[in-house]
Amino acid sequence: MPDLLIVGAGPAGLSATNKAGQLGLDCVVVDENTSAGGQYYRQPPVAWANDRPSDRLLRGRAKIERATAAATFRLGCAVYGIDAEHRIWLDQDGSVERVEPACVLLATGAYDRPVAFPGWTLPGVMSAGSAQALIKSQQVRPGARAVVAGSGPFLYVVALELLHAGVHVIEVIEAATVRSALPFLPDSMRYPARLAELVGYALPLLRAGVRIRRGAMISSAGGDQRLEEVRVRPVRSGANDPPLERVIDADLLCVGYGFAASTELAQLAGCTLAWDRGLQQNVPAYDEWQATSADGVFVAGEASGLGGAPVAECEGELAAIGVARHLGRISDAGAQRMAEPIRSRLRRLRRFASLLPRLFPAPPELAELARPETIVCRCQNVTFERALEAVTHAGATTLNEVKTTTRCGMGWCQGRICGGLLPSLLAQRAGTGFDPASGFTARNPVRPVQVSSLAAIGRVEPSDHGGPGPDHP
Amino acid sequence: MDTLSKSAPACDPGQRLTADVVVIGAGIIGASCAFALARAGLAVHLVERDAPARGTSGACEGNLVLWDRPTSADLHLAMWSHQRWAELAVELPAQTGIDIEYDRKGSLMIVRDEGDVAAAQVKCAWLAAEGVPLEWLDQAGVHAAEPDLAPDIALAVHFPADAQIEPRLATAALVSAARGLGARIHNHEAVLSIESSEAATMVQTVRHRITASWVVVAAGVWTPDVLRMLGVDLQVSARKGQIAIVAGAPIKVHHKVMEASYMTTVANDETELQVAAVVEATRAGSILMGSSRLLTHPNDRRVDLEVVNRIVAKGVSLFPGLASGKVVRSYAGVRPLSPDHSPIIGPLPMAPRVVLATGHEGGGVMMGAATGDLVACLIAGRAAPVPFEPYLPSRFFSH
Ligand SMILES: Cc1cc2nc3c(=O)[nH]c(=O)nc-3n(C[C@H](O)[C@H](O)[C@H](O)COP(=O)(O)OP(=O)(O)OC[C@H]3O[C@@H](n4cnc5c(N)ncnc54)[C@H](O)[C@@H]3O)c2cc1C
Ligand SMILES: Cc1cc2nc3c(=O)[nH]c(=O)nc-3n(C[C@H](O)[C@H](O)[C@H](O)COP(=O)(O)OP(=O)(O)OC[C@H]3O[C@@H](n4cnc5c(N)ncnc54)[C@H](O)[C@@H]3O)c2cc1C
Repeated sequence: MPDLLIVGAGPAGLSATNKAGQLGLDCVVVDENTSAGGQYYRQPPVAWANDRPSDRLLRGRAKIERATAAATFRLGCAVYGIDAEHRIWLDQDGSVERVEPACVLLATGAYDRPVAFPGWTLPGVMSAGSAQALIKSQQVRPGARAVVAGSGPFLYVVALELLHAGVHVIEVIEAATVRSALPFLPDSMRYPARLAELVGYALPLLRAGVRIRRGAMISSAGGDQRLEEVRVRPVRSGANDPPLERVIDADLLCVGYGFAASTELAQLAGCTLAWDRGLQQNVPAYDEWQATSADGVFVAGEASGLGGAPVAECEGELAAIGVARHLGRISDAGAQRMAEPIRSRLRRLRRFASLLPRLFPAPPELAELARPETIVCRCQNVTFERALEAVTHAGATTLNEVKTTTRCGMGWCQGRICGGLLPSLLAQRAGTGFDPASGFTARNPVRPVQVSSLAAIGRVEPSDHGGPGPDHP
Repeated sequence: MDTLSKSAPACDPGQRLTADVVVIGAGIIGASCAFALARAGLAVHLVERDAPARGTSGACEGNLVLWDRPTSADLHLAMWSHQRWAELAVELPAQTGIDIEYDRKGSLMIVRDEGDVAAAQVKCAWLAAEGVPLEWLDQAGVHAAEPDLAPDIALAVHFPADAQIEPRLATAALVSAARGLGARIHNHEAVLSIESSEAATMVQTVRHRITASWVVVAAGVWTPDVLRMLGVDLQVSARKGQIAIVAGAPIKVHHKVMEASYMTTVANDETELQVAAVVEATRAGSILMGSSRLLTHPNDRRVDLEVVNRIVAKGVSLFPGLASGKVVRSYAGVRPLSPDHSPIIGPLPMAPRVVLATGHEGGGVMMGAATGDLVACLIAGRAAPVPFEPYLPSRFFSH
């Protein structure tokens, strides 16, 4: 069994792999994607390889090449379960297996935080991340006329990628305004390079004639069978007036109001969670070595809080050093020496990262959008009204209680979608009593897994399992 | 509803309340007791440390199946309950607006091994004599009833009266109906101590001090913890069971389908893992596969993926078409098992104002409706359609 199993080959997992390689750790990397890179270094399929790859793509490729030499890579391999003894279950194309590494690093990243508004389940409406994945990994153009709505730099990244893919981007609807960002601007000015990066995303958009609206947000999506029009509104409206809506004809709406960390594996491994202000959710708590409260379980990158790729990379390196120290391969003093420069970089990067959610907050007004008939759980077709009633009538105070009476979270996606949108929605719309920090209890398996694969290993030879029979008759 | 705060200072006894009956635990059993007692005109307080159906009653299936009952006493309670659920399936939605998803789909007992045939014959003769409707199906009959069953299955028993409810919704509906009849529901309010005298009892929760004539303890696998507050030692073990949920399998399952060996796993005292195939479809379209039994501790709700493998293998042997589906979820619950496998319903000999209602193991939903009525009869001093004796806790205490 390996010294270290790394779950996730994004920036965090790759940096950890390279550092672990330098430290001589025997390391296995698994990622359910068929190529390494995670969100940030997402690689196009080889067959589609770009003529003129971007700088980021090249950096990513170099990093992946180094990592591949340093460890065993298993791509297209999902971790579908883990337990408190860190037994880990892998599913590679329907072939399942259990591994018991000495240590595990959870570098599982984040996913787009879903928002429920009228029409959000229409074909043509998707998360900004899904649109990006379609373009980058599948080289599919997700639509012809697009509106991109949300808040934060990721919007501009996606808008730009849509533009390059030949999509007509009509508008970028940004919730933040210069005024709302003003209090944080002096602090931001201390990071000119990062600010320039942000501006660098917006400029080509403006040059291409894309309108950028600030202080606006999505209101609803409409269409017969699929998306035909997008309604947008100002974030803040007059005291009692209904907000003024504007209609845009579009066949693609990309929505990106922030991320949610993937924490199911950490929960199942028994890691203590702590509230994260930036993500507005509970994430695994970790120490100066990225070690969680569960012995031998480490965490790095977006799986444990917002930060962006550079933060994820530093955390990945620290975690690898932490594992080597934990396993006694390096001395504590040696580990401290190695960690110090990484930590000082990390401190600076985190300071900037902590500004982002303040510069680009997800507007609380998003909670105003769901109507009684709006679906909140796509898998089980549960309406907002039913979820709300579970709180207002039946007195539910946590998401698990809402699940008990509505079936929210019992479907195919295992609660990733409704679990991401309901807590804040119910806390705001149901009045007092509902706990916005509540989430679904994570349960194995965390990914759907083929019945035949499990049945093949679950078959046991019939044995005479006697026991006394029924006492009557 | 009391959802003000989740804890109060331990030294402050909180607000004083009085009631006729305090029911501890809002699982299917406590909810049914609260409803039946409120309907009998008593002032009821239902006290739950979490929320309704957050214990075992929220981690089970809702089969109303008669043939797995191991003893006559169980069967009689189950048959009464069977009838009560059919009535409640109409009453509860009318009173509360909550549909408990009652479905009289019938069950099939699959007799596959030569060795099971004789036992099944004896069992069925007994069931028929007790008045349980059943019919034997040959190979053609089996496959007419369930076309997707494995072709080699040649013998089964059909129980047309068996049914199913949604236990979480049923618990919620019972709680809501009890509230409609004047019961007070205290969620997120754990019971910390109980005092009992000849004349009255006192229940101290994290927020209230409730004086009552009676206390009903329906705390499932946690009942021993509650009884310890009274200095009483009674064994209720925790038998874990897991369910795997499958989506995307191109098959139809019309009945509740179970292997005959399921009876044995219910009735025996095995401490090692036991698995018997139980397969059923839900209204939402997915397929539920069970069942497992393993002695554990009360708070062990962890899904063991190795057990999922075993369950899935058994299920596929009944319905080969399941193989192409995917397990999308799994959950586990802990069944409250009494020392002799039969429910424990009635007053404690050493504290006669404390009435127990637990120990239903794998049949708490099945026997839940009648258990509430039986407790109401006991407390109101009325006769019941079944005798009280077989269920009384006194059988576990030597005098
Ligand atoms: C949808 C989306 C798009 C983003 N795009 C950008 C962008 O364009 N530019 C930018 O600067 N930042 C982007 N970000 C932010 C970005 O996530 C971080 O900057 C960085 O990628 C975080 O790195 P990471 O290693 O922590 O996680 P990730 O890069 O997200 O990598 C996590 C990896 O873990 C794998 N994984 C997760 N669970 C399992 C499992 N159970 N089994 C197997 N593998 C698993 C995933 O497949 C993934 O490859 C994006 C974030 C999201 C959510
Ligand atoms: C996988 C599985 C499948 C099953 N399938 C079926 C089936 O198909 N048909 C069937 O009939 N049965 C089935 N069962 C059995 C059934 O689930 C149980 O018999 C039944 O749920 C027990 O109900 P209960 O009310 O006694 O316990 P619980 O539902 O556990 O309720 C006890 C309650 O007491 C509360 N409590 C505990 N201590 C305190 C305290 N100090 N203060 C306040 N409150 C407290 C708990 O929080 C809990 O809510 C199944 C069980 C499992 C595990």
